[in-house]
Amino acid sequence: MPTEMTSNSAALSLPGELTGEAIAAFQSRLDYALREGPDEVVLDCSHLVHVTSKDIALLWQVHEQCTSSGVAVRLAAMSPYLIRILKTLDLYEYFKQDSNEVRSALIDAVRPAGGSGEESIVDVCSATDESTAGAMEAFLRFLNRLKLPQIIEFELRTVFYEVVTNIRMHSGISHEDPIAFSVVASPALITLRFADSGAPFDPTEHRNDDTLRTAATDGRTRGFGITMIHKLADSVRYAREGDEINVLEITKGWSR
Amino acid sequence: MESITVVPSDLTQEIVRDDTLVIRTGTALDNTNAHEMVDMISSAQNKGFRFIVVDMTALEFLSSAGVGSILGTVEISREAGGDIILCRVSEPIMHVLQVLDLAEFLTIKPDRQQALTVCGVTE
Repeated sequence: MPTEMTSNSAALSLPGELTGEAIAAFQSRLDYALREGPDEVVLDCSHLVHVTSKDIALLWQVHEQCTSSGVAVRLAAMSPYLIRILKTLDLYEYFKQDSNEVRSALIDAVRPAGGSGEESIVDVCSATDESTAGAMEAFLRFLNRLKLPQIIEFELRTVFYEVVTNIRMHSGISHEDPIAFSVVASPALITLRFADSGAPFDPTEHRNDDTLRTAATDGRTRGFGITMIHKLADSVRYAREGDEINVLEITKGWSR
Repeated sequence: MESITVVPSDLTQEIVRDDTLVIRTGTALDNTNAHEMVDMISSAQNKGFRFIVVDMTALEFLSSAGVGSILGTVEISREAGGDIILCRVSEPIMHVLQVLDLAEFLTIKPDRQQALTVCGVTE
């Protein structure tokens, strides 16, 4: 596992298996890299398939050593699973992140297979107001091209808004974290897919058709988004991919 | 008509009688302003406005939070002998309310005049 130096950063790969020998070799490379005085150390985490307490301890040890030398640590090729563990342990913010890796994983999770006669878009936004508004605009432009019936377009717009809002507000991702989505339109079916790296959440287990009426008597003003998605969509499917990514697939039939 | 108050949002309110208030929505009632709608309705209810007419002429988008802002406050008006009446509801929004099985539950009138008639107000 080589150490690559650029003018201001040193790239090291974390060992996949933490044997005493591997840790000693890694430590040696880290010591060498720090003596060169980089601005940051980039740790390639792609070998961390199963994240153990030893891995976390090593990451923290690297962080402490680099910090004491005035060097930032950036984690690259992090799996969403690693991100979640670091967030759970309140360690995530101590490292600079390379969000492009998560972004790619999410895009892959929603990428359509590409059937004949289909039109599709794949896009990704972050969980900020501005970025999700931009994603909504891209989504509406795509729907507009399809010349859908007004009611179907309105239903899809509402579903899109509710899903993204639910991810932003309840999945535990930060504002900078990506949300990927794709839309596939075949002659009779629109399929929306959403992917995020937040906490596992299966909306198909939270359907409650009585929610709306009971809300009136309870005086409750929030918490109807999932019910609304179920009512407006034809099907809702959820999968947790690799214990890392939430993938939600929603379909809606249509005809011109 | 006594006065029109413009609050710092796209929601406006108009007092038409001492127990009747008209709230006009902007183009969207969603997560960004549903809490303002709840505050506006609750404040009006606390001041004795039994009837609240929600004029949706400009409304183009209604999210679950927007639905909730009306649904979660309507019983207070009804318990006080009044109601929250929706009017000028567009076809797509009416469709969503029907799909949610709320079109019969909520009081919905085609225009402002008919909504105010429910409140016993004639303009």
